[in-house]
Amino acid sequence: MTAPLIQLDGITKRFGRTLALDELSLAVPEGTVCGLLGPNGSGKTTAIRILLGLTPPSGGSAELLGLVPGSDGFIGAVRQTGSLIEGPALYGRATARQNMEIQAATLGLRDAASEVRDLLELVGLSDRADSNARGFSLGMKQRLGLAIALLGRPRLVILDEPTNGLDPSGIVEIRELIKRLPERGVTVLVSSHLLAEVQLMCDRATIINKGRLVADGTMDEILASTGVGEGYKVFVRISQSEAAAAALERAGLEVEDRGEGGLVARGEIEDDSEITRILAESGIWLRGLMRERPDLERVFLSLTNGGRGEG
Amino acid sequence: MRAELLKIRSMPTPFWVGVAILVCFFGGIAGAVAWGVGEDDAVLDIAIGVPTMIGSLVLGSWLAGVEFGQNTLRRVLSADPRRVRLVLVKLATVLLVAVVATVVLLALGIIVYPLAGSGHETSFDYAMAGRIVAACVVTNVTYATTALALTLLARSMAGGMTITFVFFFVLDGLMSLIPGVGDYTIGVAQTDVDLAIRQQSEGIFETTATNGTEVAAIVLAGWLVAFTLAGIARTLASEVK
Repeated sequence: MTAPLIQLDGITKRFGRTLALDELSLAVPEGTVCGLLGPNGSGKTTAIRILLGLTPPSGGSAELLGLVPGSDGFIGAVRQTGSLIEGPALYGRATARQNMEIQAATLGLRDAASEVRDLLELVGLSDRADSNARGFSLGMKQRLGLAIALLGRPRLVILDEPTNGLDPSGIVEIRELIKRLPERGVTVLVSSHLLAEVQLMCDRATIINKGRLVADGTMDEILASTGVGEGYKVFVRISQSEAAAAALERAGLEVEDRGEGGLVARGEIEDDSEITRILAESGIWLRGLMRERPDLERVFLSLTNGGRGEG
Repeated sequence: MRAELLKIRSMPTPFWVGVAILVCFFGGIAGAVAWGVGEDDAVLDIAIGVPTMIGSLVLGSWLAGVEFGQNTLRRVLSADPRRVRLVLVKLATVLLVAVVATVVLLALGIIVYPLAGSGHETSFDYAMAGRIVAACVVTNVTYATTALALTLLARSMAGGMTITFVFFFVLDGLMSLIPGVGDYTIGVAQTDVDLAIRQQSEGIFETTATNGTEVAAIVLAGWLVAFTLAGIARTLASEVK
């Protein structure tokens, strides 16, 4: 097994009296798209800034591509890492192409013209390559930021809230771009508070709250971690919902009443016909039935106490 | 340095500074035609020396401050985290551009202005012109370095530029009034060096030399090194948002 490209081990970061990260540990294996989740202010960006050597940790150790920030050779690790932190940082009065050329020069890349052209094509900005970046929509700026992060064919890309402020079509565009990155040999760490997005694009996820790790693993492991399994959404007449809940509970199922005649039944259920049979035997006729899969949002809210409190 | 030169080439502030300097240069031709080259080749100082001095100040402040306005500093440092190197590369770029622009424009002025002013009695002193080139280079290096360092300290382009102007044109003058200490301000040292290079005993506003040339050169270099070190220290100590 190859070493993870990112390794945080017991990282602590204090800003004055504020504890931003509290012994956070995290590993990102090569070839994956890994989500870093947490409510606003949970420490996601601080963790990323520590990884990139932009701010030192107060305790613990961080490694980027096997190298500690500030150590000899760390510059090499940074050069193989593209990043987009808290929105794209662009020279607004320079064009998209010039922004990329400046970054290519900063990275020490020679003859980057064809790579710049290819990346602008990849993010769909070829036709606006010579327009000033300050006139771009937020979505276009995000896509340009992503193109800049991909300059120099990095092994790892760290994206902090890459879909922030985007409209639905922009979100889909960025998500599809990110999902395709492992095909180009790029490992991705993407931080976000948009849980559905992370569930759709990531193989793994780490959930943090108030700077602490609350869950870590593959998406399936995370989804199973709270014991919130698959269930069925059952819709009956409002007047029959109590009777329906009682019938399902008598059959050994766990029932959650969501009001307005909506129930969720969980437990050993072979298929939906079993629900139909249990209710029919009690003289209750179904108005609707659908499977409910556990989603990251419910797991996240469960682990982070509604996204606010201690996890 | 290529990245910094690309920033200068790509963005409008350096472009418009360049345009303003060229307008002054061509204004110098018109002035020479109308009134001659002036005593002690004054046209070189008025049409090139002063504009490039202000241009050096603006460029120094701009190249440091350009990273603060749109948080591009984190992008730059995410690509290359060597902060000391970043400051030194920016400084080297500003000095290269300021010195090359000053020397090239003055060289052109030395060729063009005597021709433009040939219809007047005042003759052009080529030896003096050579000394003006050297004096302007020292002045522009002083202003560019100070502006860059003060902008790094202020962490804001507008703030840095304002502080630099206030420092040179107000604070430094006030400091020079302090008995004893006032003989070692950057303005006094720069004036002393300038007069020494020009081989003049008296500058504009009838200023005269305060210290010997060696002392002035050491004081001037000391100020510039201190400013640069302060800028580096601030850059090293700052959290990058």
